[in-house]
This record gives sequence, C-alpha cells and structure tokens, in this order.
Amino acid sequence: MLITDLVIATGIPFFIQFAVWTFVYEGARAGELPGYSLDEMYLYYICVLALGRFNNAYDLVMDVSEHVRQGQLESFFVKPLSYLSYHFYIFLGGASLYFIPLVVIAVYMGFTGTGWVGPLGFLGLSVLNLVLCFIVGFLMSLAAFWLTKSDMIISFQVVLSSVVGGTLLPLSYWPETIKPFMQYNPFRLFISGPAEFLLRPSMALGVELLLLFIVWFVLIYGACSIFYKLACVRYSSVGG
Amino acid sequence: MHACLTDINFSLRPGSALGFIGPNGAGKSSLIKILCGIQKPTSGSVRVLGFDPSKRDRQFLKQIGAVFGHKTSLWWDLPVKTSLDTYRKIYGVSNIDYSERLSELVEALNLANVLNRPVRNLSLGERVKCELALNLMHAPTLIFLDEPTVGLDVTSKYEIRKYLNYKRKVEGLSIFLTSHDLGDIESCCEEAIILDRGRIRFDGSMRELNDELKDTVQLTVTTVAQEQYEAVLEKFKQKMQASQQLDPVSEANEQLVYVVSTSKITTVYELFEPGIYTLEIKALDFENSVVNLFNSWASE
Repeated sequence: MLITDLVIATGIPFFIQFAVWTFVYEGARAGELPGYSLDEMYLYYICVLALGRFNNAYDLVMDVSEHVRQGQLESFFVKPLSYLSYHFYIFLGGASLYFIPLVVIAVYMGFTGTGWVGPLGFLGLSVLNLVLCFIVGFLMSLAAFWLTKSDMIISFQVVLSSVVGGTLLPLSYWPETIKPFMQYNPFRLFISGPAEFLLRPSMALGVELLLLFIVWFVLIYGACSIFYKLACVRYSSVGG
Repeated sequence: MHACLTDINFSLRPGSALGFIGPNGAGKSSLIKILCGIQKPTSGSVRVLGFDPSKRDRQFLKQIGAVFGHKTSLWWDLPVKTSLDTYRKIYGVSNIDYSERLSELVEALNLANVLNRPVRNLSLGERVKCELALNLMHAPTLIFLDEPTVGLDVTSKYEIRKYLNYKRKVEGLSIFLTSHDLGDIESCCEEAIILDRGRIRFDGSMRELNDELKDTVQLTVTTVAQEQYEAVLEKFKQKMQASQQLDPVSEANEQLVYVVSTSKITTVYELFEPGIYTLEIKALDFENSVVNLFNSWASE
C-alpha cells in the first residue's frame, strides 16, 4: 500500500507537475509568472503531494459508509466508546506513517533554507490541520446515511482536495475573482496552507491560517454534531 | 407511518432470562435494539438497569453486553486476542480480572485454538463464540443476545447455552434472548414473550407456555381417494368451520392440518366419514406448537 501510494499516487503526479512547470517556466520571461520561482514551484508540489497523502480522508469515508451500509454501527453503539473518537484514533494511526515525508521535507528545508520558522510552522500547521481534515472527512462521510453508496462522496472529496485545496495550482496562480474562495476554503488549510508557509513564512500568513482554522473548526465541528445526531435518528429508523 | 411495536409492557427481574419468540418481522430485533439503546422509541418509556438506554450513558453501556449473530465487534484482519485486549481497555477491566475471565471463557467456549488467529480466518461458530467472550469479558449485569446461534453447529450451541446458564446461576447474569432456534429459548430462558406483528401475544413463564401449548394436538386429515380430493376437503373444511370455528393451519394437496384443543378431539372425530378420510393425531413438540401458533396468527 505504501509503495502504491509513493510510486503511483505521489510519484507520477509529481513527475507530471515537474514536466509541466519546467515547460511553462522555460517559455516565460523572468518575473512574468506570479508567485513562485521554478525551484519553489517544485518544492510546493512536493509539499502538497505529501500533504495530500497525510491529510487524506478517503479511508474514513469508506469505513463510515461501510458501517452504515452493512449495519455495523450497532456494534459500536452498544459499546462505551465514541464513534467519532474511534475513527479519529484510526485516522491518526493511518496518518502517522505519512508524517515521515513531511518531517524529511521540513528537516531538509531547515538545513538548506533560510531558517527553522518555515519548517516548524509547516509541521505545526500540518498536524493542526489533520484534525480539521478529519472532521471535514467525517462530516462528508455522514452523507452515507442518506446515500446508497459512498462513491459520490469520495469523488467529491478528491476533487475538492485537488482543486480548491491547491494540489493542482497554487493560490497565486488563480484569477483574482476566484482567489477569495480559494483563499478561505477549508481545503486550503490542509493542502496548500502549510506548503505556502514553508515557502514564504510570515506572521501575517501564520495568523491568517490559524484564524481560518479556528473558524472552520468551530463551524464544521458544529455541523458534525448536528448531522451526526440526525444521522443516528435516521439510522435508528432502519428496523429488522 | 408503520408502528413496528405497540403496547409493549414488561419487566424483568435481575438474574432472569427472558426469551423473545416471534416470526420474522414480529419486532424482536427492534425491541432488543430499543432495550440496548440503538433505537429510540417514538413514544413510551424504557428503563434498563435504571437508565434510559437511548441516552447511551457510558455507565449503562459498561453494564451490558450485546451479541448480534450476524454482526461482529471484532476487528476483521486482526487476531481475536488483539480485539479482546483493546476492549479490555475500553471497558476499564483490570489485568487480573481480565486474565481470570479470559481463562474461564477460553475453557468454557473452547477458544484456545482461535485466540491468536485473525477473525477473517474463523468459522462462523468460532466467531460467534469469540463475540460472546468479548461481550462477557467485562462481566456485564445484563446481556442481549439477538440470534446468537444462527448458523452454529450443535456443539457450539451446546457450549454457548451451557455457559450462559452457568453465568446466570453463579453470577446472576440477566439475559434477553431472541432466537429462531427454540432450543435456545427452551434451554436458557425461564420466561418468554411471544411477539406477533409488534404486539405481545404471550407473556409468562416457559412452564405456563408449555402447559398452554400441550393443550393442543396436531390433526392431519388426508383423503383416501385421489379423485375429487379438492371438493372432499372443502366440504370437511366447511364442517370444521361451522361446528368448531377452526381453520386449517396448512393446506397441501390431499391434506389438511389442524391444531385442535385436546378437549375438542371427540367432537371433531365425529365429523369424520370413514373411507373418505384418514386421520392422524400427534402430540406437538415445543417447536411445532409454536410454529402452528404462528401459522394460526398469520391467517387472522
């Protein structure tokens, strides 16, 4: 699984991005492209691909969906444990392995870059936003109570992470009209946000990301609580 | 909206074993789900061990066990022992108690060879026994068993029934049991509730239920001649209906089956016309009595 993740899910997308951006930068005049230099662009994609694997709610959505579909929730409901906490610890365990590439990137940048503020902030934001990624994933997975299968939720989650999270294109490359949406959506926090901080660490960006985290955490956690209660009532209506 | 349970009212003394009997769709599983907090009733009140089950209070959940024959709480790809160790921590069982209980469960349910195997490699019987072990490991006061012996061989059934009776006698474990295998109910329960389409049709002791069922016999009427059997049987049916207000519990080709009260046998016998029908009367065992009971309700 790890090899599949590293070679297919991470290596191939990076190679494509590498080829595309090398071509784009070769044809561009200096200063014409907004945001990052070519080297920074490579680093950005290494970061977002590593963050994309680290903050990945695919298994969470699949698990909840299967529990709902196969009626396995009953086994959890009669045990003195919280279903949310149960999945949170599973999620943490699954993500811990993918934290290693982030540490490697941070250490590399710490020794070769301009200091440790960026790398440490990058690691801190990544861990913090793992919690947000979990509750976003859990909220999306609750749709399984209303849907027959989880395919649509998973596709939705992948698309949102890739596009609005910034995996495909950094924030500075989007048109001005779309930028506010790209800047303040929760997916930016766990994909491009930490990568931006690693490349260009600043107090303003750190505060912006932290405030964004607090606002989205409160909103999504609240939504999770409400929809989970509704979902449990809905699940209870299934007899037999 | 369809109400799956109506006018349900009963209580259970500590240390008793209550069996829920009923055909498919009677509401047995729904009732178990309400009692252990999975479902919330739309009206009425439920108290189990002094708690409202639907609130899923941790203290309540620590005092109950629940085994659903078709479902598992064990981690599919991990050894059984790993699941048990994890649940030990979730229930807060001390190491000493855990070791003692596990040894007892392993011996009683014959689990020595399965503890270190992944759940996916176990047979259905082994898995259900492990599930039971998991749900008894924290020494619950009350256990809910929903079809615990479905698909199990006779040895596994015997081991489970024997151990449940032992726990009840020695530790005062209370049991709620639903099963389509009436042998489970007969072996483990001293009280029974019969549900039919969401309503209680019988609520009493197993002895009372047996006495009630013993009052009836099965009467099979078969036509002698194969020609025109439909007309002959129809005529007999009308006579039974007119004199005894009885309908057959099953109708097959050339055959009618009735469940008749022993006190009416003489009267019914007078309806027979020698040479046209043959008559077979046999006492019903518990299972057949209940089946006939369900059949008679189905025709209501």
